[in-house]
Amino acid sequence: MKRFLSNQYLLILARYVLGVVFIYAGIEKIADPVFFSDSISNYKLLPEAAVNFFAITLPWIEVVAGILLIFGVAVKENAFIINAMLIVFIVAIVISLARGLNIDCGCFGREGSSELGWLKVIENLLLFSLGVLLIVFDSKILVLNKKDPIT
Amino acid sequence: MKIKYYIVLHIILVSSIIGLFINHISSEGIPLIKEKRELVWADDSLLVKQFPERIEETTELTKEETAPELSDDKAKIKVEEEKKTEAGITPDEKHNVKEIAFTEPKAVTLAQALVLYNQGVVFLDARDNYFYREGHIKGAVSLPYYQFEEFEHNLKNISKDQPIVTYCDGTDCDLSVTLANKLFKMGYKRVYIFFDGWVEWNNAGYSIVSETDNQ
Repeated sequence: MKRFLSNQYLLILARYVLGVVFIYAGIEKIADPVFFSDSISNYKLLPEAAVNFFAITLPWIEVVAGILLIFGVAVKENAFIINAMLIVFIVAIVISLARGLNIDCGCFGREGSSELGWLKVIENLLLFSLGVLLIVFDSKILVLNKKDPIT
Repeated sequence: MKIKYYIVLHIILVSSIIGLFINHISSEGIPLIKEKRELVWADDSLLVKQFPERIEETTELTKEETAPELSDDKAKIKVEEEKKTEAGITPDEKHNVKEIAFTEPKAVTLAQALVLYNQGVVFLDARDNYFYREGHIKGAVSLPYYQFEEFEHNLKNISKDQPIVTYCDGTDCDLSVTLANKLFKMGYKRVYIFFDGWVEWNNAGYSIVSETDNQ
């Protein structure tokens, strides 16, 4: 099992899937910041004053982490960032579902608008598991990492 | 499992700075602090009677309502402009006001919604069709936001000049707003959002149709 999970082709597939999903999600949000900002405030989890800051920065973190993941720069670090975001998303969705909010997910901006539901949680958990793979195992092919002199 | 946290921090910081910078120079950028009010509430003067008499069935609605009240329109525009300047909206948007009465969908309170309802304005139910069948505002048309294509045919009897009101469950849902924005983009000129929605309407005891009635 471990051999299968640490298979280099599986790891690079995980990088591509996560990378593409996050680049796409980020670009959709960047294209329509107003919609994303409204989506965040619909969750009613953040103070209004903080909503736009996240609406502005989060999509760029998604895109940058996605690109770096695909090119194989700091794979573990970017997988860590993506998983941290996924945890936030999952928690937000679960809380909203528990509170019975009937809102748009906001996951992929306006174009990919979809209803909030348990399917979203499962989707995010699957992506999360790909992230875990990348953190636990070393992806060695098609990476641009050099030895970091600081450590 | 060796994650270098300073690299994580670096990536997040640089990405955030890129985001803030691009948002700053972009024409579609948003303010760093969200403006409190998302909904623009309709002034009572915007609820001028549109129809000669109450019309029960949506299919019978006609396009006549725009012509006879040009003078009224001007008054409306003035009210709107005053409202806009109060809300601190850019001159660009103010300019658009002159071309059409609405620059965006307007939210209405329960009392205003009742006024519109009594004028025979069409109500659109943005909730899932299942909830519509369970119970809806009497005379409302089902147009679920997530099954829009499937129910789009319900729109064909509604002219783009005539006022429409969208609603969903209540203040906890935003489907009324998203549907209103979508319809407004499609060219419906007078879109109202009944934000309090089904819950408040039902609580107030106004006309509804519920599943038990149909049986």
